[in-house]
Amino acid sequence: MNFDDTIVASATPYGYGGLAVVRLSGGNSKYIAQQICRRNKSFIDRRATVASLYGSDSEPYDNAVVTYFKNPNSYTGEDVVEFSCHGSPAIVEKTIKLAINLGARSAEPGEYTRRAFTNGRIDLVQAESVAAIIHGRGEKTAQLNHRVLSGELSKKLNDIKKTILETLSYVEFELDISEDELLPDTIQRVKHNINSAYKGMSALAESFNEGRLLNSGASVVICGPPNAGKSTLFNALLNENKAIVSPTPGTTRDLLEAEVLYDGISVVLSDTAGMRKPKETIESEGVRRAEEKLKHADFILNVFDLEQPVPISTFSQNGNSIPVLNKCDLYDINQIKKVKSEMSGCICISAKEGNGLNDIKDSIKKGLHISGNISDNVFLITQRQYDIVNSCLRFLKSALQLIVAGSVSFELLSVEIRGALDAVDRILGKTTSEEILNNIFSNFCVGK
Amino acid sequence: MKHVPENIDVLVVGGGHAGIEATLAANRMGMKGCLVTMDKKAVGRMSCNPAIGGIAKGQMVREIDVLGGVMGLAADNSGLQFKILNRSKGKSVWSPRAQVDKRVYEKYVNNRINNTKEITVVEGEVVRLLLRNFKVVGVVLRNNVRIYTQAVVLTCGTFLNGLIHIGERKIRAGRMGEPGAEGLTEFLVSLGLVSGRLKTGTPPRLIADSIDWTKTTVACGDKKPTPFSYRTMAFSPPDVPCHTIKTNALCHDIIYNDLDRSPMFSGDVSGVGPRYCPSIEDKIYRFAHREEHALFLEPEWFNSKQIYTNGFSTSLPEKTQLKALRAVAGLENVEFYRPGYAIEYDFFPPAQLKSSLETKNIKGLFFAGQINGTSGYEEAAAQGLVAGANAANRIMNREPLLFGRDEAYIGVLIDDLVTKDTLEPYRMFTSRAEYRILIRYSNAGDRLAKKAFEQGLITEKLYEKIAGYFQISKKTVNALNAPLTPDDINPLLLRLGEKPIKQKCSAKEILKRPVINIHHLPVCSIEKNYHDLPSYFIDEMMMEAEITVKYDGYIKRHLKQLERIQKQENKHIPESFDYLQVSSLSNEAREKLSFVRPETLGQALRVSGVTPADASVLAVYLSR
Ligand SMILES: Nc1nc2c(ncn2[C@@H]2O[C@H](COP(=O)(O)OP(=O)(O)OP(=O)(O)O)[C@@H](O)[C@H]2O)c(=O)[nH]1
Ligand SMILES: [Mg+2]
Repeated sequence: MNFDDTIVASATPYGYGGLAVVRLSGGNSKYIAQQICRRNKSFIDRRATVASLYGSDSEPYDNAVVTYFKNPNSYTGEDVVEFSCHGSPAIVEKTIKLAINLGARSAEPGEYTRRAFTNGRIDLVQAESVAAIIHGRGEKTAQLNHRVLSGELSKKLNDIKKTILETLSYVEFELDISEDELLPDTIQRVKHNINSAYKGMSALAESFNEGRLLNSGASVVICGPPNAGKSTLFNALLNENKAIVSPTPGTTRDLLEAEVLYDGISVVLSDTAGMRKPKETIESEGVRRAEEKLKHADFILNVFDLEQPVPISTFSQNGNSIPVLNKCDLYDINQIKKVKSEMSGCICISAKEGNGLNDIKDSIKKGLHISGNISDNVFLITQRQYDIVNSCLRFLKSALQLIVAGSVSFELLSVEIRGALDAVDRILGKTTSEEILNNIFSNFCVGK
Repeated sequence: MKHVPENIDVLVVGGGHAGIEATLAANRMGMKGCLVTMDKKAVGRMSCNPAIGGIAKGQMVREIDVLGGVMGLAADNSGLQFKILNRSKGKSVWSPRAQVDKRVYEKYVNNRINNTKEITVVEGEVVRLLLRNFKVVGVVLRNNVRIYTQAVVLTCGTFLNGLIHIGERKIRAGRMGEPGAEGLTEFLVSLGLVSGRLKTGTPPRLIADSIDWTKTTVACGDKKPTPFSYRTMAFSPPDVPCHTIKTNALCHDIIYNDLDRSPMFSGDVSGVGPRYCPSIEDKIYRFAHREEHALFLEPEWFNSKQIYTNGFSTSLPEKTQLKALRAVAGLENVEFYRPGYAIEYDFFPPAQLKSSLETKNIKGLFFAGQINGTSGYEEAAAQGLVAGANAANRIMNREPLLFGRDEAYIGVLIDDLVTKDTLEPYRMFTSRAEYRILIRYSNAGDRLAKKAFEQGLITEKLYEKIAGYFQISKKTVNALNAPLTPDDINPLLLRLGEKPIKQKCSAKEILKRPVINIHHLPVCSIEKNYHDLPSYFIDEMMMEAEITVKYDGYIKRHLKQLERIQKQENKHIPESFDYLQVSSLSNEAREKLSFVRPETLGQALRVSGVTPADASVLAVYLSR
């Protein structure tokens, strides 16, 4: 990617609409905008200005609201100009073409955010949240990602980084100071700090489950023997006749997926082929896909009826599943009571009549452990973050082990702590050894 | 001048630690050398503390020694007390240090210079250079004598426009009692080089008889001392004790009350003072919560009546210095030979140099030592050696001698100098060396001897000798692969309170346990084959073997890390690269990079103010 030219793209989706936004970013943005608007006067920073847009004709082709953001206080950190024009593809295309003729280039995917990152407007974690915000569904998800973009996660990481950096400065100080001036409580302080960083990082690692569920949606799989009424339940939960329902066992062979929102949380429901020894290859492929899906499920509904009164018990990756007795409209109260007493947590429903669906929704929400308490917490939102947090935890753990092992080798301790620090930096940014030094010597007195 | 030397290859300006190593290194590489000094008698003078080595510096002295330098030998021959510092820490950061007799040291170095063929020492002050097409061809002395040469190494120390401060008093000088050098800075600036001001301090020298020694604590050296030099075969230094005392609240108060009379605080010194060996007034101001500071009373030479007050460098008025010291137990009646003072001098931000220490703008012109903003004898000597060798390489049209950050402290030093901002005198620390586990004082020979020999800095004989030492450690590590039976080793393990082994296990595995050291294990009898070697080298090699085994995991980790960054590290940036054109670099990065003009992408990344984002922009540009 080349960063020193001016880029242009439509910021709104292609198609007809009330408005469309065309965005320019880069050193030539203002010049290009002035040319298109045939203006000699410069735009005023952050002031929406109504202007006519001109092609080669003397007649303007549109009237737009033009806003100029002077660097570095713009989204990308460069000069940015936004045209809010009428939402017609023809106008958008025309504007982009004009900009390109004036020296701009079509932006590549994610390039605005990439520039924002490159120019230090946002860190990597924030950049990741931008993508998440755009793709996220549900209000909770939006709130969560907004918190990351506004820097809550970065702040948390930076706090932990500070603790680690401080620890490193203790350790390095220990190495660089003469024995006569050693501080007696270094080990205690180091241990305390590493423990606190470890705690902070562990909490972040744990938060990923929720962050991930909120962002990628929770995968809830309906499974069970053929004809148990899985597809009927699927349709009922969706409130839509998406899956084919029939009295013939083995109706569903393919995997069906659909998204629903529960309290602003996106849930991806899957309907699967009935679990049985399949008679033919198509069905066996269906069963294989179902099994694959189950492996990565966050929650499983094990549907059964009294034809085959024992549910197939499968468990999600977190051990989340519940038995669901279907077709309760066909059974008398005693039969149902018996099943309930034998099987703890069993939910009794009639998919056909729509009874008990709320119980199912509630148990899904409960089973996913989504606190819903977004405002007080921060969450990791990408696998990358999660993986690096885990690698950081491994370094911190080794560091703790070195301390526990007794006579502490400070230079080894330093390697582990630097590993941890590097991990945090890989999530966020970078540190130099000058930074470490500044930290050491701003806190301590060193003899020659 | 009666006789102007002719056909000089490398001319070195300045006879301090940098100048000496530069002169000798070029000489070892077959160059005809000329050392220009303002005072012939001051060649090799230790102008500050009477010690060589110390934390991170001791490692550099070893490296200098492997590269054939004189510093280690001179210290071994003039040492009063030898001690490995950091013993309470891991072995990979142990650092040798010696208290030395300044006079003997100076004499040793002087003899070395005078007895080396093809080195002419000239007394004089260089005021400008002779250039042809941005290449150095000679120098002009104050008395208008011209000396022609192919390369020049400037090691002017604190002499360039030196200004001494004692309280409000100011004296123009290069060192106390020696005149400074004027005119050269201005000449260099006229060539487009950028200069700055720095400050460094030195503590008062006390009269030994005025100290109540009974109130001090005695600090001795190691019982089994280790020399710096691989060439030192007979070694039995005296163990002359040092003495420590502690400052107290009264002493601090006296200093505090007069802070405004120290040039540091009245703003008289425009240069920035060192953060790392701060003046006593600095320490007291910045670390107000500390109730005491350790001071070391060090003899300047054997039976010296002149005592160096390590830890008390200051530019306060003489009276305040005296009053403050007299508040300290043991110094109630102390008298000065000479008060402490601060000196302000010109330096040239070393980002203007290549890693070879040649200036980027002028061919054949090299800088080393305090002129580059460093502090410390060892830092100076290391640069001098590299600059001298590279002056020779330049003349012979050979590739420059360079060291990686993972290869030597010298590599860390130079890389930091050419990439980082110098806001205060640069001093080496172990914390600057991210690969310090790989660059131990005890493996300096293994790391550098081959390179030194290939450069022509040491003879084949010395190379083989050093390589021979390391055979001991390598053979020992091999021998440690031998399996031990439970019967062999369990008695020892039980005695040490360790878990016994159930089945055969290599000695290496046992050695990895923290409480086990190499002398516990039967295999170390290997040393018996080397009884003709001095015991300190055998001991050191056994220690090396132990480190290699114990730190194995960490060493491998570092090597893997290095492999990962190697490609980026070595990616070359064309000298003419125009950073101003790359508008997507941050402003700060563009400015810094244009000034520094790093030679590789790895260096660019380390330039202060360059973010990883900038680095990735650069990487993209360079791969086009
Ligand atoms: N009475 C009653 N019938 C139901 C209920 N749920 C499903 N059925 C009937 O059971 C039969 C099978 O329903 P499906 O939803 O197709 O069952 P399935 O589990 O998807 O079957 P396969 O896809 O073949 O594995 C249909 O005839 C449904 O009408 C219910 O709650 N009550
Ligand atoms: Mg079905």
